Amino acid sequence: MSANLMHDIEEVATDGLLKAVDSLLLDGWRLIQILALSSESGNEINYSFGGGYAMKTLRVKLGPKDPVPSITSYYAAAAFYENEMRDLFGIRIERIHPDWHGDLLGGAKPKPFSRVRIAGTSVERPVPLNAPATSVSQSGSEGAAAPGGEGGSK
Amino acid sequence: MSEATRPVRGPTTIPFGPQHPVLPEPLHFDLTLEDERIVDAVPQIGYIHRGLEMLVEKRDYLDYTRVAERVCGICSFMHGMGYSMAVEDMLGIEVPDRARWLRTFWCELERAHSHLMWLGLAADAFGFENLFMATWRAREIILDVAEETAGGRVIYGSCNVGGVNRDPDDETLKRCAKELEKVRAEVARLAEVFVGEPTVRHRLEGVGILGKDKAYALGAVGPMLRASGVDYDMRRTGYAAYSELSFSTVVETAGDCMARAKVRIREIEESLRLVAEVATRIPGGPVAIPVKAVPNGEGWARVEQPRGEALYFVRAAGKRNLERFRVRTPTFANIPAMVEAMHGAELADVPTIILTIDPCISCTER
Repeated sequence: MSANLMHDIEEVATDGLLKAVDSLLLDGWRLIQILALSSESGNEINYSFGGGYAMKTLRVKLGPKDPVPSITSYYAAAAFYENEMRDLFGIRIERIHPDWHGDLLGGAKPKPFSRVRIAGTSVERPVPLNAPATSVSQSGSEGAAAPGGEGGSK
Repeated sequence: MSEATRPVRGPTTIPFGPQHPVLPEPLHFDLTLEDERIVDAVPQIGYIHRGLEMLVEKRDYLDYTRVAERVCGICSFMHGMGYSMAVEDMLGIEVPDRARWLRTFWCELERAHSHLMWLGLAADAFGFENLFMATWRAREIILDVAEETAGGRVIYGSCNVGGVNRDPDDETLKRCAKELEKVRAEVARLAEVFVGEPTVRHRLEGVGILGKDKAYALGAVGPMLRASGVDYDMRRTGYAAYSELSFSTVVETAGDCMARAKVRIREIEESLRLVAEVATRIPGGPVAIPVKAVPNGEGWARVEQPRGEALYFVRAAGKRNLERFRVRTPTFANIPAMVEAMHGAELADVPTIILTIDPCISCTER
């Protein structure tokens, strides 16, 4: 980490997230971003908070289908990040308020950024725009993959 | 009128956008109104989502700087620089001094031309065509300077991981700084018209007020935050050459549309002054170091763009293609505060409120 970035990263368990967020809120930190990452083994969410020019990040690691509680009851601005994260990665976020039900980004392709691999299914890869329509359902090589990646789990 | 035929009075929901005369980019709101007053606004983006973040998985991490620049056509250099800084943070690279100063030079050029562009768009939205033409004419000089020093008017293409790839000589920089004196004089004249003109003041003063506490709590950044009285500017962290330059943070306290306009107008002056200072004091030496490392780990960077703080994140796993690149752009951070500023405003003021956050939907959607 460069010297001019005062930044702490702390890994927390999913069930300890809200307590940690509550503590940061009481200490006067504000939410500056929520960042999601997806890999074949699951998702990771980084909640970054700013206090002056310092930054603190809470890191939560999730299994492929694990939900995460929404922090919108603590930080109203989290709704935009959480709706975006749900739309792009398909991460299950419980009790988002307001929940725009996929309307914030509203893409034609569900969870395009997801890389989660569910046992017995393939990972859906990006399909070229000019590909024949049938190739969408035939993407991947390890069995039937439904659009959305995990939809075809057995 | 009988009870049975009387129209039911209550909130009305109307669509605003995605195409609208004052919006250069698509942004949609479902506005809930009681009479003419807004009680709720639900934003919708996604019309121009390009998935540029995901493209990092396909490109060599050194080449990706060119893609990162294309996140936005207005603050392109800063996006390329922010990405480079995050990668440099991951690799533990220190860029040469002259490269840091040149980056600062181009950053401030970009801030000045972005604010001038916004000023012109705002004037155009009020129907003030002359002011629109005059601000864009002044901006043209800045674009010419960018072309002469960086090689591009919109996409500079001059920032690389490890430094910069252009090295304009000191004489060129000084001559450009002298040329920019004309812009400073013109901006001073235009600012007087913009801030003093009764029709402009009527549209901006007291409209879309955002309080200091709300602005901070909702994560507002940049001129949106500073216009609400919060002295917060990421340049204070001292990245690039800012730790060696003296500059003042422009802060206003009214929190309305006029305050946001005033912050930008005064920042143009401050940015052009910084450009002149960099041209005078820039140290000599190399402008880049060779970068051959295979990336591994993660890096972060925070940059003050014209619209506010942008936050960059990269992660790699020992391959030349990164696993993840993420940029939290300032417009995305300002949307919650903008929605808050709309509450209680008149429908006719919505375009002005949206404009004064200087939205960049291209950045927001990446």
